[in-house]
Amino acid sequence: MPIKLHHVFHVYSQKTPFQFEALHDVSVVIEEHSFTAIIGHTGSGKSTLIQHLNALLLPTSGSLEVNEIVIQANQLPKAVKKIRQYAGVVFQFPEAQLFEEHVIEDVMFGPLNFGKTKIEAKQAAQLALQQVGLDESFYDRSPFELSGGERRRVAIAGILAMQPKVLILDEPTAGLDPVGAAMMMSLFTQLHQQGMTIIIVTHDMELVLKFASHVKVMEHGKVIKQSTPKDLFYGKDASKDFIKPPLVQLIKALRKKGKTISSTQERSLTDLVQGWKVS
Amino acid sequence: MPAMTLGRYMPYDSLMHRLDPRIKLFAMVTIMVSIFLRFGSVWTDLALYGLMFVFIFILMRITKIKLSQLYRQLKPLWFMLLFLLFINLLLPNTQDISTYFDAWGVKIYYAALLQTFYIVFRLVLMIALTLIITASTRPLDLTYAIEWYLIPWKIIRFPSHEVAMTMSIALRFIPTLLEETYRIMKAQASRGVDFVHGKLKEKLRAIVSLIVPLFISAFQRSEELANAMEARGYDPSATRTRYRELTWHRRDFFALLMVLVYLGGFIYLLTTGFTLPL
Repeated sequence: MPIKLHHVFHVYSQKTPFQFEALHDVSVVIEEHSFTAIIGHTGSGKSTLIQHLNALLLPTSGSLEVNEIVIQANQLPKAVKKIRQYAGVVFQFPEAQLFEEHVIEDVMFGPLNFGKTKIEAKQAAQLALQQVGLDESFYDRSPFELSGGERRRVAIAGILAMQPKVLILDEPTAGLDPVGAAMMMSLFTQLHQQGMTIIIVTHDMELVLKFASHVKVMEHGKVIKQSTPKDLFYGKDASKDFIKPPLVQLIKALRKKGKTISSTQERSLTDLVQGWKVS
Repeated sequence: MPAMTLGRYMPYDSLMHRLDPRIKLFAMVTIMVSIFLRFGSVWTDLALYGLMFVFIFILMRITKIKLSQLYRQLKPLWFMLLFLLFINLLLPNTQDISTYFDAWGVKIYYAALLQTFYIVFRLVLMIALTLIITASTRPLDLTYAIEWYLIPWKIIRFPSHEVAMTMSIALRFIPTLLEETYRIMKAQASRGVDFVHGKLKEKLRAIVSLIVPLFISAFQRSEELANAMEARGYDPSATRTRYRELTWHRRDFFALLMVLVYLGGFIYLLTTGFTLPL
C-alpha cells in the first residue's frame, strides 16, 4: 500500500510565541517499493514530514494513511505499534540511541518491543547485523567501544531487525567516511531490490541522482515539486535556482560540445565511464 | 515539545522584561521570604496571602503571563498536592485539636485543613514567582545578576566568577538537553518503546533506554565544550570585560523602591506583632 498524505499541516508550539508552521498543506503519495528521496533546504520541513510517517508526530490538521491505517489530526491511532513496525525510522545520527551492554541485545530491543519472543528476536538481530556487514565477533562487544561508522550500522540494524516494510532514513550518510557512505547506500539499494520501500532525506544530490526513483522537493513546509531524478536534473523539472551535482553539469557541458551521452549514462560517473568503455 | 516549560524564557517585550535582573532577583527573594511568614491570627494570614496573590497576579499580568499558563505549570503537581492533603489530614502537625468534624469515623481537624491550604497556596505563589522571573529574564542575565551578588564574597577567595560560569553553562544546556531527550525518546519510540503505557518492568526498561543515551551525550557534550573553551584560551581566573553591561535605569530605581517598601511593610508588621481586629 502506498503512503498517502492528505492536506497535512503541522504547527509546533501552537498558541505560544514560539509557534511555527513546519508543514503547510502537504498532499503527497509515496509509492510502494519506491526509492523516494526527500530534498530541500535546512528547515524546509523534511524531518517533520518523515516523523509523521510512523506517527511520532501527528498532523495538526489533515490526515494520512500508512499501511491502510488512517492517522487523523491530533489523534494517536490505536494501531500505533503496527505503524511503527511497518515504517521504521532511522534518525539522523542514530548511534545516539544505543544503550544496551552488548550489540546483539541492542539490536534485539526493537523486535522484543513488538512482541517477538527472545529466539525470534535473536534470529532477526543476527540477520540484521549480517545485512549491515557486522559478523558474530561484534555480538558481545559493547556498542560504546565501536567506531562511529560501526555504531551507526548497529543502530540501523536495530531498525532492520524490526523487519519494517518501509525504511525511512534521515541523512544516513552524514558524517561517514566515503567508504562507509558507499557501503551504506549499497545496503539500501539491496534492501530496495528485495522489495522494501526506501524513503531517504538527504542533502547529497549525487545520491539522489544515483539511487532515487522518485524525488519530492520541499520548501517552507510545502512540497513544491514531485518528480524523478531524471526530470529534476536533466529534463522538464530542472530549475535554475537549484545547484546541480557536478556530474549533471559535466554531462550537460559535454552534450553542448556535441558528445552523445545515452540516458543510461546519466546517473553516476561510473555509469558514464562504463558506457564509453562498452562503445 | 510542550508549549511551555517552567524556566523557559518568553521573548515578550514588557516592563518586567526590561527591568534590571539584579532588581528582579532581589524582589523575588524578598517576596519568597514574605510568602513563608506567619502572623498572629488566621485571618491576618489569609488577608496577607490574598494581598500577595493580588500583587503577584498583577506582576504576572505585567509580564504577559496568563493564568492558564500558571495552571498548566501546576498540572503535574496535582498528585503531589493530593498526597499532601492526605498526609496532613491523617498526621496533623498541629496543636489546635479543639475543632474538628467527623468524616466516616475519621477526625478531620480544621487546623490540618488550613495547614494544607497554606502549603498549597505557598507552592502556587512560589511557582508563579519563578514563572515570572524566568519568563522575563534571559538565563544569562540571571547569572550575571547572581555573579554581581557574589562579588563581595571574593574577599574571602570565593570563586564567584567560576560559580557563575558553571551556573550559566548549566542553564544554557537545559534546553539543549531537553531537545536531546525528545530526540532520543522519538528514536526509541520508533523502536517500539511505549513511555506511557505498559507494565512497571517495561516502563523501567523504557526509562533505561532514555537515560543511558542521554548521559552519554551529556558527557560527550561537556567534554567537547571543555575542549572548545580551552582551545580558545579560557582562563577562569582572568579578569575580563563584559559584552553586555548592566545599566541602571529610572524604572529600576522605582522597582527597587517598591521592593524596599514591601520589605519595610512586612518588617513593620512583624515587629509590631500586627493582627487584624477580628
